[in-house]
Amino acid sequence: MRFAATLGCAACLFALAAAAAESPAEADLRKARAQIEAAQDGPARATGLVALAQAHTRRARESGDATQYERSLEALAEARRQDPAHAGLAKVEAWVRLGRHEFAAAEALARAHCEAQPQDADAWGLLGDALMEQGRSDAAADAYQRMMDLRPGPGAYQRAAYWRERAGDLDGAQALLRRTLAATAARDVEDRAWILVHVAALEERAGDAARAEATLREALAQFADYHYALAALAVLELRDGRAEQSLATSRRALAAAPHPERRLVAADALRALGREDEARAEEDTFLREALANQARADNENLFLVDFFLDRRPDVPRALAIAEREASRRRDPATRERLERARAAAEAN
Amino acid sequence: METRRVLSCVLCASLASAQFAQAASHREAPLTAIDRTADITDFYAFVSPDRPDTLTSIVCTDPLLEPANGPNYFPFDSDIEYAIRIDNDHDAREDVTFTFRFSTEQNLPGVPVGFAGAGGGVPAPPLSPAPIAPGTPLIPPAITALEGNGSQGIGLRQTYKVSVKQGGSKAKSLKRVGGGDLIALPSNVGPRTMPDYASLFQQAIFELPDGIKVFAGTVDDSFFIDLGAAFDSLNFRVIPGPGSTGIPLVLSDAQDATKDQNFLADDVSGYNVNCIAVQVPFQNVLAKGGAATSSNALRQIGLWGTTSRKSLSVRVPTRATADAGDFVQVQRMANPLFNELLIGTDMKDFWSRSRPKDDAQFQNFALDPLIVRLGQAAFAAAGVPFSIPAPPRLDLAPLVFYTSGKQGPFADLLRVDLSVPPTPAASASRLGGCGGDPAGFPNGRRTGDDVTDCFLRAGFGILIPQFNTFPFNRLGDGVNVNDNPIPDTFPFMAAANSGRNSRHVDPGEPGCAGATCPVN
Repeated sequence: MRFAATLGCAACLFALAAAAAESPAEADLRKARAQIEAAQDGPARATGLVALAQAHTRRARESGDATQYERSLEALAEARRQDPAHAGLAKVEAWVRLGRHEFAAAEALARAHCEAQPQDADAWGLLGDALMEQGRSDAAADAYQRMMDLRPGPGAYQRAAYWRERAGDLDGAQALLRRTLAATAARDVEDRAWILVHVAALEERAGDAARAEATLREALAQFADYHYALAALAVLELRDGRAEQSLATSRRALAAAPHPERRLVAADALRALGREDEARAEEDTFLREALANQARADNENLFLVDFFLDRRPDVPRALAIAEREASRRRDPATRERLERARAAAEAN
Repeated sequence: METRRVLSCVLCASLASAQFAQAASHREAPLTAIDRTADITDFYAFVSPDRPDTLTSIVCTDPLLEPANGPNYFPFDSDIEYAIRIDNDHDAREDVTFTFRFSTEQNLPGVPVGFAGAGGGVPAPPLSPAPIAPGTPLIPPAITALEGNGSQGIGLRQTYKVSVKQGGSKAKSLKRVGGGDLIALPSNVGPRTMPDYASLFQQAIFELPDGIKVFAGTVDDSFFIDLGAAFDSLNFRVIPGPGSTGIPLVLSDAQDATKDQNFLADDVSGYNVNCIAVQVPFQNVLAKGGAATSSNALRQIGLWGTTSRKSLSVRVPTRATADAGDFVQVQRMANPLFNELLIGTDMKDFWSRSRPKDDAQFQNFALDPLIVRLGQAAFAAAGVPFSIPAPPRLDLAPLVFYTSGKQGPFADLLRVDLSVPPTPAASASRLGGCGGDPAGFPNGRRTGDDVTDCFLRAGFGILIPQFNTFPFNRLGDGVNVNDNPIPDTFPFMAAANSGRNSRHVDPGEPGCAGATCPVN
């Protein structure tokens, strides 16, 4: 039987409902502020502040607003003043440092917490995250396995999925992400959307663009205007020859979270539509914004490398940026950019 | 020009691909560590009022389910092993274990909702454009059955298997009497899709061999509490209404005697939860040869619920290494609020993963409860100083030791004396043992027991005669009863709140219960 046609627009309604509601991170922020307000100075207040830091970190992912990390660190600093021995300080700061792409600092904090509290499954996960981003995948697998053996569940499953993806086991990664999704509550809409974006990436890598697009739309039904989903969807639409649609989706992604690299997809869509001047203007804006962010931990440097290799060739500049970035992080994407830049330099 | 555009697009496609991958691999510290589907909200065990020679035990998971939250609502997690464990020889180790595993089928692929149905079904209208021909069924008939005719609209269908393991014997699978699947009851989507939800609820009760009954599904959450006040550092409210004492958290005599009305909002009102209930004849749970009589030193049994997941291999499995390891316990629960209110924050996760037989390491949390000291401090700060019992709090022993026969090791178990008959509903106290009702908490826990008030009173010492005085014996959060009436037959839980027509009672609104509730 076919019921799809009539019910298809239900997803639109869910998206509208999701847009109208308070996001999970916003709810966490509200609760944490109330907790702080009610608490007296000391450990209870510190607990509220640690919760506030966590909520800001969650909001950073929801919104793409990196200033949320600053607020997290401010909350943690105040929490440390209230209770220097608070058990959550190092772990939550490791979380924030990961968000800011300060991987060495995140590793040190997570490692210290794991040594102090080896039964804390989450801390092993954070340690693994920091190790992965620094290219130490074998050590990361050990940390992730420790987390898994202590407490299997969504946190451990999705990390195992990431590790498997990096190891080339796309089927295993997908299966693990689906398990993660099944274990994530219906109301954790942003978490669910985030998982779906990663499932879509694996589907796209496996060559099933149609399925990937359907998965991204499912993510958007869960969390309206989710910037990660929109950005990925714009890419798929462009690749499928739907340049006009891709341009609109890129604009929505930019409006939801102004990540400069999203201008490149918009530029490509404009170019595909024959609007070369606008495409170049979009690229110019990307260049200006990305260069301004160069020195920040959370930056667009990998896109700048690509930009100076492919769009506006300047190989020495691409190599310099790639080398600088690689001195800080050793994840596969960074290493791949460095190799490309070196190859281009040698070819020159 | 055309060539240039084509070349540009080849280039942009490769860059776009890089960006897709980048978007996907850009992993901020993940936040999906909260395992809500494995989170046990409540655990109940009591002598069944509808069959007094049986024990009913219920484990509930996945808290605060918003009834309207489609499209798939709240399936049980097929990766989880749900279990009810029973110690019948007072050593805090399981002697009888019921386990439950769920499987999920998608019967309406392509349909974006898990459940759909209306009337006798809706076909495509005469003007339906191609490719869907007029008359093609579009919406299935309303869901009136869990299987067979009337169940076509159940797109997301869950079945489950039950097994029982006794002592060292091998686990035995328990099949449905008469054959067929055990089917989990989906949430109440609303009256158009499920016009007679009460009937579906009854259809989800299945008979197993040896007089065992089982139920699994989404139901109204039976727990009731002023949750916001409790977790706002015990920021309880003055309870309005007849003879209000004017003191936060302290009920008047009239309020205390009320068991069919709330004076403050039940923060869990209107929410659903996933529960598994099993009703088992005593002979299946008592130590071999024992009877549910006062002469049996092992008439008291201890129960707890657990959720477990398999540990998986992070590395890509090889022929020499398995993809999945053993089940690892991720959550447990016995006494209400034990983990939430007694165990320290930094130990909660570890406690959840440990076993009752090893609970001695947590002894200080229960025998010198910090929450009671915090309560004392909060009242003192408000100008109401009072004494609390000195540790060790042996008056709280019924929560952590057996009180008949061998007391056994310190362990968080929900202990039920099977020789105590159920109290008729009319004479039952909402406060259970704290209100003099021997068949209620902490002798097991019934779905209607006001464990919050009993926990508060016991915490402040009313089990010690000198502390069984005002205001300690009138402590309460002003939420005395569940928002939906609890039935007096198995599975002793109210049906799920409707996704379309339910609401929550919020702070500031008048309290309510049963027929007076602005629900449905």
